[in-house]
Amino acid sequence: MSQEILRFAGIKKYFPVTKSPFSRREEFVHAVEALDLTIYRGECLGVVGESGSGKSTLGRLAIRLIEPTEGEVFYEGENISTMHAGELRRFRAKMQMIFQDPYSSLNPRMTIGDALAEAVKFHKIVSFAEVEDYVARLLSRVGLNPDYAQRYPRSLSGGQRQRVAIARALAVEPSLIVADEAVSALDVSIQAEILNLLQDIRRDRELTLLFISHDLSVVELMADRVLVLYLGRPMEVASAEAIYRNPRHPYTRALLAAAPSFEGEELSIEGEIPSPTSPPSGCVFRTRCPFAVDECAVNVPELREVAPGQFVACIRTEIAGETLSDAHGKSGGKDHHVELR
Amino acid sequence: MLTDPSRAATERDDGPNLLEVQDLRTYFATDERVLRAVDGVSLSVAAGEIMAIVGESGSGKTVTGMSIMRLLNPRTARFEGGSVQLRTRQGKVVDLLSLPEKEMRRIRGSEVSMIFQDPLTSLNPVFSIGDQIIEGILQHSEVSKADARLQAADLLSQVGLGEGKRLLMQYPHQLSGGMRQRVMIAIALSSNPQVLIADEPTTALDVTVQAQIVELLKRLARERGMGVIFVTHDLALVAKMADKVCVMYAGEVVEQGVAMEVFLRPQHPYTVALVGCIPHGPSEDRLTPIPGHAPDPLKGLVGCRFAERCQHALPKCVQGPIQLRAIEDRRAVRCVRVEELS
Amino acid sequence: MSTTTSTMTRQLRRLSRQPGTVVGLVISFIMLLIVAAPGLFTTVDPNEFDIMAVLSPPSREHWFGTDDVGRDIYSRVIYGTRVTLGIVLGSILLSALLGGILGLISGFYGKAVDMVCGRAVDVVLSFPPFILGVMITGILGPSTRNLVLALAIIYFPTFFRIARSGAMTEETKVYVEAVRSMGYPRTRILTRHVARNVFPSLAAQFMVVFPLALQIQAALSFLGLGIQPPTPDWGNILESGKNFLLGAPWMSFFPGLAILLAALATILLGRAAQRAADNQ
Repeated sequence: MSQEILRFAGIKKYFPVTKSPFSRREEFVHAVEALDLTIYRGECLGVVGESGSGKSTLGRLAIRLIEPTEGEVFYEGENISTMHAGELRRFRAKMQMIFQDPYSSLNPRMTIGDALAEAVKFHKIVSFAEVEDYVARLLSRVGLNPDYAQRYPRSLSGGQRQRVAIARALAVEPSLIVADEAVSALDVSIQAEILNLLQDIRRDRELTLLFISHDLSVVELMADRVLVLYLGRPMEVASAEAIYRNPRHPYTRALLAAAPSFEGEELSIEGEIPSPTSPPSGCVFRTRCPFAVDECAVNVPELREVAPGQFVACIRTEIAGETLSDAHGKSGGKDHHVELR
Repeated sequence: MLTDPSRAATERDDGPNLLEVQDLRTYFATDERVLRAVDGVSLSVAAGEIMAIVGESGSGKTVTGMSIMRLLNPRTARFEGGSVQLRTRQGKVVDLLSLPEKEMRRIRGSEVSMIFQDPLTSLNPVFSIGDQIIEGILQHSEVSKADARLQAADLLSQVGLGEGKRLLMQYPHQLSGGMRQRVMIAIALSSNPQVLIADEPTTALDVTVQAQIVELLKRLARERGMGVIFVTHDLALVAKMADKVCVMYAGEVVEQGVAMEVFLRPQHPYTVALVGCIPHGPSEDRLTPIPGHAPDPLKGLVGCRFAERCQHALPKCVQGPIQLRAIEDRRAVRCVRVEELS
Repeated sequence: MSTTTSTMTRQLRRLSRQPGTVVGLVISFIMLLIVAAPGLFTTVDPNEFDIMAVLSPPSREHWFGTDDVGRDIYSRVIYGTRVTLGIVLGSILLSALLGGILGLISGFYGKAVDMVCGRAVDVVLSFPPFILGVMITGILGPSTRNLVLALAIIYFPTFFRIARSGAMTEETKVYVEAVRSMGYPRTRILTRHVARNVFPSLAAQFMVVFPLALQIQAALSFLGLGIQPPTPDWGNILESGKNFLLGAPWMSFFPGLAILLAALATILLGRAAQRAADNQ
């Protein structure tokens, strides 16, 4: 039985939208909507979704970089949502984040070495005398020459900067790392290097990884389990194998159909993501879902276990066998190409 | 039009080529040195065809598109030989590189149009969508403003934005990324161009929206007999949607052929390596990244530019210039060892 | 070794294409040298009267001529360099320091601190700089200390605003988010991470303000509200010549020239620094 390392309990995050001073109504972006989720020690949980899915917000909520509107986050069983800054500080070292843009996540006016050393010293990872060596070893571990400690970020390439970001995360010996689109801004060949590095590190340090990405093929490579988000709500949670071989939620299937790297159903879904300030009632995906029926608008579907370890938030679980093209045939057909491989 | 083995390898049997780029060389002058961004690129696009240019950053793919449109700063960029031959709507063939700017302005946005990666910055935030489309229409035709408005609404529905009339009055920031990109396409189409150059049009979009835009481009190319040049870094996407592909590395085309074929059976070591970097199936396996990094574009290199990173490199690879050779029907590769390695 | 010489030659070649920068550097260097060692430039006592040579035009003995009591203008200008530049430099540094620190705190922490500082700054800004200077020195009395205070107050708002908006901008950047996730307290983030990124804009502003302050200081001294005679200062030397403009124009010309050159040098160097920063 795997140990829980991070748990979201009823997490909600709404961002206020500043409207004109004339409108009295306060609007909120429903970034994350009532999520319960457990992450287990040592696993890599992939979080996929498109823009507006709330995946980045979720990453930030996980390490309390932003405050939830409602709900709580538990780290190793302790409620980190109610801690004050002092208590939280010692948890910060345990959970670290790697950000998307390597060009802005490092302080441009601080040498790599200084930035790393500061983190090490602040959290008292090693004694003062050992800091320099420790930093050198960190840089080597992420595949950089220890001489780079004297350099400024501007003389490093995107891939190298991301390695530094990884080194920084590792410097404080975390048990959980949140990678928020950590490779999205990199060229494909560099991406491959960084992904390999992350896998190696994860293995030899037994880290838990929360891997957020819009790129399905990358998540398939890295993740053990996958959470599919749409407009702040979970659509499907299952093992990576299940998600990619046998996706059950219509949105998951549409995502896979749209992604260039995957063979399978070929169909593009209509429309665009609805406004996050006024999400559709009931199932948020129903406005674009080819299987939607009237009932879908009534209640928010709960995540239900449809197969061992596979949870789907859809009331129409019987449609698993239906292909998307059948559905379109039934609903009067829309103007699409339908090709089944 | 000239014949050359690389082009013969990929020319369609039906229809003439709308655009033929022959040995394009775009060099940028810096303080004392020369940056050879595009160094001898040849490609062609036929009516209704989608030609993809694939490469990583620094490969020269974007500069190629910008060169065809002559959008580069003439003070820093210069063309060292080569030609870009366009077959106009009247059937005339002109070399875009040798046209005076005044003539080029008539071609640009009319016979050849371009759409870019980030529609938010490509569209003017202070003008309505309608104004911007109508401006595009009026630039290249002599219609009344009322007619232009009707055309604009029609264009919007052609790109899948059904309620064209209502949308005309909205502003760019009120639209989503996918919708903005469709508007960009509408503007680009307003003059009924022969060739559309799309520079990373879907990179900033969600994958489901990307699929829609790609479908749209395919349909428009087919229906209008328009040639599309699709510049991207995503080889997997290209395999699904393009007819032909040019893989670029360090300013050169290293492989050319039928898109799906190149993806499934890459021949050039770089293409092979690139395909190997794409996370494909669930695996315990590691990805195989390409060692080293792209060559310094300011340094003039002899022979194969990929040699220093290629596991199959031999001394003969860097001895002299390597030609792009047709190795089979509809495939050309720039590698002296390609036959031995396959 | 060859790479360092080639970078050096490249730098020199680049410099040669920027005559403005060279001029700025030369002037600054000379002036700093004058400040450091005025004795190198003149052996004449700036306060020594020579009744025989009152109001004499520039000659080999008195390069810049003499004033109405026979003092050598040249040596007065030389010794005045230290006084004038010292005052202006000192007060603007003070201004930048206070304005910068308060602006950073205001922009980074916001809320109450920001409101109070912001209002104070608005009050200061509501006065035209010169009038403000006259007010302060007029009320507090003309003295070196009050002159420095006046200049510092006049320019405080501009440094404050730059530091404040700089801090606010940096605060939204990803690297700040990254160090927050490291658990660093806000104070540390401000002092060790944000401050250094705001510093360049403050330095740039310093270069812009310096020539302006120089002129205001000269004007205040000219009005008699600044450095009190007999201590030579470009402003009061200029003032002492105002009644003799027709008869002995050299009395005001040379201190005026000195002010001009100092301002010019700062502007030229400021532009060069800006260009260098942009190129990075």
